[in-house]
Amino acid sequence: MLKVEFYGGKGGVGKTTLSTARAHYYTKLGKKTLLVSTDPAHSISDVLGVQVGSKIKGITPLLDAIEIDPEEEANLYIDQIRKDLNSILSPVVLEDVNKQLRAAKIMPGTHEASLFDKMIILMDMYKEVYDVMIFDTAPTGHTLRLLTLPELLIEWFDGLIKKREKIVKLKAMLGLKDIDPILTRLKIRRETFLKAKDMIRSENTSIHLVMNPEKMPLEETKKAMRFLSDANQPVSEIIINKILPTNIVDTFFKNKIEKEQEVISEVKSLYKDIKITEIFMLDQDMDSDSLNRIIDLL
Amino acid sequence: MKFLENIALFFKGALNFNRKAYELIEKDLRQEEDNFLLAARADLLGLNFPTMYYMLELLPYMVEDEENWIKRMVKRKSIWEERFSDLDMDP
Repeated sequence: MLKVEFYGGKGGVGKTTLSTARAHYYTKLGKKTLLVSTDPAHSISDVLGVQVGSKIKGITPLLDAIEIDPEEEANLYIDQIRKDLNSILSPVVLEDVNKQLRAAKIMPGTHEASLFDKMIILMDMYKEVYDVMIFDTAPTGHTLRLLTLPELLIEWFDGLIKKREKIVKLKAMLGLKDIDPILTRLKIRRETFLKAKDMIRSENTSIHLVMNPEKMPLEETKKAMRFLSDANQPVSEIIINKILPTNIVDTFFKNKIEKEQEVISEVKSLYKDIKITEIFMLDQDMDSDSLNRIIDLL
Repeated sequence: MKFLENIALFFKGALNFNRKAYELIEKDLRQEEDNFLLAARADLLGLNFPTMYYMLELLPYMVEDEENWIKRMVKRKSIWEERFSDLDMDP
């Protein structure tokens, strides 16, 4: 059974580092792992030290990675529609529709939807290929929407399908054709969203929030926790990253350490049932060597 | 005999419930189709719905209806007139 993990959190807290470290951690356990970046500002290439790109790429024998390019996915989808249209429409109407399609490429929501689609395709198509799939997501708000998108879309599609069914029924009463391609399409889409919802809600899927021991990331984590609990989506782990080592004696750092420890104990007291993982700050930048040190900490 | 024929025609027309029922269904259908287009392609009116992206794939089946829909919406003179005609109250 495919295990899926989502990593979310404020920008710069170390989502990419930690999700990459986790991916390596799973490969060390002998699990075939796919690391997926959904953040438009991709950085897994930088952490892995290999140019990844929008096609699945082998990194080590057990680790593959991909950086989803929402723009590319949207273009593929829209170009396919254009091809379908070319064969059935008159040139005059076609020009008008082309205008619409061009506009759709840059409409708000387009990239979000194309990213979501690609995510579902990966989870569905490769569920037999990989043991673990790790999603390194964009900053919090974006991730939260992505996780609750299926529910929202299912509701919309239910409404549309009901309306369409009424039309088909009225048409049948008039003795008109009863096969409706629109209804078929709508139902196929709804199926996909139901599947996505099941996959996200599955007990094999877990959400991991990454934060730093500071006030602002803490507030954002609290907000995310509230949102997810409202959406009935449990969080499995909170990772507190870049904690200053407590053995520093310098007075400047002593204050900072105290503040950090306050935040850490607040997190611990707020979320007693959730696994809290603490990662101390390293004395070096992220590279394969420091990544190994973090893998050992997980 | 013209008179009798007219009377026959009158009753035929008056008692032709079938035709009336057919018309009502057609009217319903038109209205439902308009409603569907509004729900599916509200972005044409500038409303941004989360389903917009997925409605693009319905374009091959909807695009011609859409044209007529926009024309109908633009031509519409009065909502009242339309409602009265629904109730069969127009002259």
